[in-house]
Amino acid sequence: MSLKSSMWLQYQIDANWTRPLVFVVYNILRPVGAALLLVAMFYVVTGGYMGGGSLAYLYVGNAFFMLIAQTLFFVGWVVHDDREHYQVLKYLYISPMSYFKYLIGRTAMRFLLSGFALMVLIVLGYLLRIPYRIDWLLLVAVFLVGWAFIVGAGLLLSGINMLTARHGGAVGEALAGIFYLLSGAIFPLSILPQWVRGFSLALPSTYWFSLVRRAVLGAESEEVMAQFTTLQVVLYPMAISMVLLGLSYLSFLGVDHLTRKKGMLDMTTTY
Amino acid sequence: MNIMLNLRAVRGRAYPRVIGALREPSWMLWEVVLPMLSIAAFIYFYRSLNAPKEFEGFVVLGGVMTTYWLNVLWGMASQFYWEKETGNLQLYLAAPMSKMSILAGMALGGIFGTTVRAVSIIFIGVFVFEISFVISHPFLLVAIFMVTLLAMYGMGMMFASLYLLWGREAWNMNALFQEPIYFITGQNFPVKALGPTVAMAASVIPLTLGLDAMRQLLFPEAAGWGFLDPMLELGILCVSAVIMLVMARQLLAFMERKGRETGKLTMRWQ
Amino acid sequence: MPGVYSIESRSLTRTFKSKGEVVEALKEVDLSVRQGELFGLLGPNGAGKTTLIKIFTTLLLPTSGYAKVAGHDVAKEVKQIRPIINMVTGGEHSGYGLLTVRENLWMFSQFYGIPGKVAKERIDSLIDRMRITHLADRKIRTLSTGERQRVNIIRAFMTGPKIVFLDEPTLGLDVETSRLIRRYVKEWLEQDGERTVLLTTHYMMEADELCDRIAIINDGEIVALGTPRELKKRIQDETAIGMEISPEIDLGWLDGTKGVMGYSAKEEGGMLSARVVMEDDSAVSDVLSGVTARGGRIISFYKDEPTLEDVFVKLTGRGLE
Ligand SMILES: Nc1ncnc2c1ncn2[C@@H]1O[C@H](COP(=O)(O)OP(=O)(O)O)[C@@H](O)[C@H]1O
Ligand SMILES: [Mg+2]
Repeated sequence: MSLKSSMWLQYQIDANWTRPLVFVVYNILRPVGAALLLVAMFYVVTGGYMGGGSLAYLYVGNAFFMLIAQTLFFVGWVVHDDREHYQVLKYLYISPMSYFKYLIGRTAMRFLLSGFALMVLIVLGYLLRIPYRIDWLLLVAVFLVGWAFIVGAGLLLSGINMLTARHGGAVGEALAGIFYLLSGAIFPLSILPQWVRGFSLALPSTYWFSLVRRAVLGAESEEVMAQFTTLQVVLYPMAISMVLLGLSYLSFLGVDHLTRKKGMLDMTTTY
Repeated sequence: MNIMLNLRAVRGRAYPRVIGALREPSWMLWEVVLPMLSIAAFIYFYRSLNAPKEFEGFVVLGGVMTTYWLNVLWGMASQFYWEKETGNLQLYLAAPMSKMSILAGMALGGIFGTTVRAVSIIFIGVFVFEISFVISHPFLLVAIFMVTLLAMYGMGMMFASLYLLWGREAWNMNALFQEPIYFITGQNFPVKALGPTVAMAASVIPLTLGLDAMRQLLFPEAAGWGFLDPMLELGILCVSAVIMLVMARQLLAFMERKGRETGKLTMRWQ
Repeated sequence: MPGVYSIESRSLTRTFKSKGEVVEALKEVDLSVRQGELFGLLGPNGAGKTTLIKIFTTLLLPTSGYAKVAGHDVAKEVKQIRPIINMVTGGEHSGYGLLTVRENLWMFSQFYGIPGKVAKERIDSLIDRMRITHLADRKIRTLSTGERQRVNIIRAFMTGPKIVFLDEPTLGLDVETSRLIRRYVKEWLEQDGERTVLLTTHYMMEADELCDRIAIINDGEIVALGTPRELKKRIQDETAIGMEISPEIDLGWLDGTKGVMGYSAKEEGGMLSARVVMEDDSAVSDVLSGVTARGGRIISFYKDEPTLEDVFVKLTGRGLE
């Protein structure tokens, strides 16, 4: 299997138009449900007022978070599913293609397909009168940077998953949760305790969300991130992603050795 | 019906869950840290909007109940399907105990594991986020909590047979039962905000009324946000618990019969 | 229960519908297994063995006809049947990988309502008997196929069943484990005259060596029934030869050769090992010259005691494996 065919495999699994119910659940109902939950929380606090900078801020951040969340959730499952549900991990493993490449292919395609959920949310945003001011060039940068970063993070995660028991994709969710909490996705960084903020500034996702706001809302309203130039919020996460990719490759080599040493390629861990 | 046999069967099936929960070292970490991340995000989100303090309490309460809900989905609803895939299901079906004992054992074991998590979440809520709540009606509170769990796990028992009948596709229902359900059951906000029609419809899921009642009891400041009277909610929850359990039994019998007729349910790879 | 068969079926038929196609897995099967018997069902893959076992173990309903276990109808009296039966399947992966051998067994014992202390004693003694004492506290996900199957055997026998169903219990196991399991099953049966075992297999050696009586099943039908000796007598008048041929050649032409009733062939170490059953000696030379004519060299050739496999070949025209 090549990179292309593993992307194709993912497309077949995920973009299965012959199963409209499944498609609707993952690409419309779940993301919309998550967005409405936040909007409802906003609604009860403002006493019914629906507008202002914070609504736009949280709405856009949450919408683009879908790209991260859907990809990482998938990554959280894929290794365990291959290993325990389909029990094909060992066969994939002994096939001549590298499992690393196979995961890159599937993860990359998953990211692309998450674009659909994002589109649904953007359209829903028009109904909520979110004041979009889209800078198309920056939007392209949003996708490129996001793609590199998520694939890098995802691969690192898959390496971990090969060593752990099945826990309902927990690792993927945990990573996504960290990005959601610490990157200023739905609330400004200034709300977080001072000591956490330093950590936030080390996460590539923080810069990426800032880039998202610049691309979609026309300006950065978040005070801390406004200090960075647009070029900085493009380059910084890009550089980190490269490091992540390198690290994940190295970790795969280590994990590869360890799984074979400990015979973890076909373990089943339900209880 | 042989009572000792079934009690032992319940204990037998609960056992691996209790042990499994304690034995896998990565378990505690994921299952507590994970919900904590989104709980923290929602708390900071409320803070950024200058919401009253009790709203942060709603988030912790919602987080606690959601861990049980997730256990109902992943540890109950989709469990028979997993048991089939691993080959346990046919051994369970051919054994003499009532299959309800298997479901009950799964539920009790699941509740044990989840409670450890839930307690950790409450601790973090109280000590890290300084959430305070009032326990003014301890008995009513406990009763509502217990009956909510009973109804929720009853629902999970029902789904276990349904998912099995449905096959692989049903798996995706669990996805549907997360975010959209968080929204309509009012996970982090008073469900009353959705209007009486939606709140009423959402009450089909026991989580909705359980959350609403406990929210009113624990955070009296927000009593005005209550959907129905907690006593009434308790009554409705009792009725729904009974309905869920009866339906779980019916569906189980139906699943067993269907399985013996078609030969599909006990076989790996349909 | 005198006069009652332990396991019995009459005109038992089972059909499956899948994708509009109807598969007749069992056709009018009549079977009577007496108490104390070790009864074997010998047949190739897809013959209907598992289907039959599933019906007797109450997991599947008959389409028509009936099946009884200890005199109870499998369709209606599951409550009477389940406490007194148990089963093992080849390649079974039951239990929870996270639990140890002992814990898994204890869990299954609880589904039969066995008091904790009794269960522990039985488990310990069977663990010894199956020679896995050193594995008792290992998580089952770390066990090999053979070790796992020993655990499965304990799982079935510890509940004190009267009737045990073994569906290809030695499938894919090494010689030592297979022998251990066979010996145990035989011993278990001899300890108490009220016990019964129904075993399916597609290893004819196993059936021959182990079973009191054998039913040969092919395509959902019982084509022969009797003790191993009786069955082998059936081909006394025929001639069976074995030969090793190199290189491998296709033996399809044997089907049309006069006097040939059937053949089986399997690859063994780069050679073809074949058995041919013929009406009498007169066809032998035709077969041998046929092989040579097709480029096959006959490495060895022998004529020996008829085996169950030959019976099978005669009855169905093909081999077991
Ligand atoms: N659930 C099912 N649906 C459709 N066909 C089935 C089912 N179970 C078994 N069969 C078919 O019935 C026949 C007998 O199968 P089985 O009893 O498993 O044979 P054996 O155990 O002897 O290998 C096969 O043709 C098989 O494909
Ligand atoms: Mg079979």
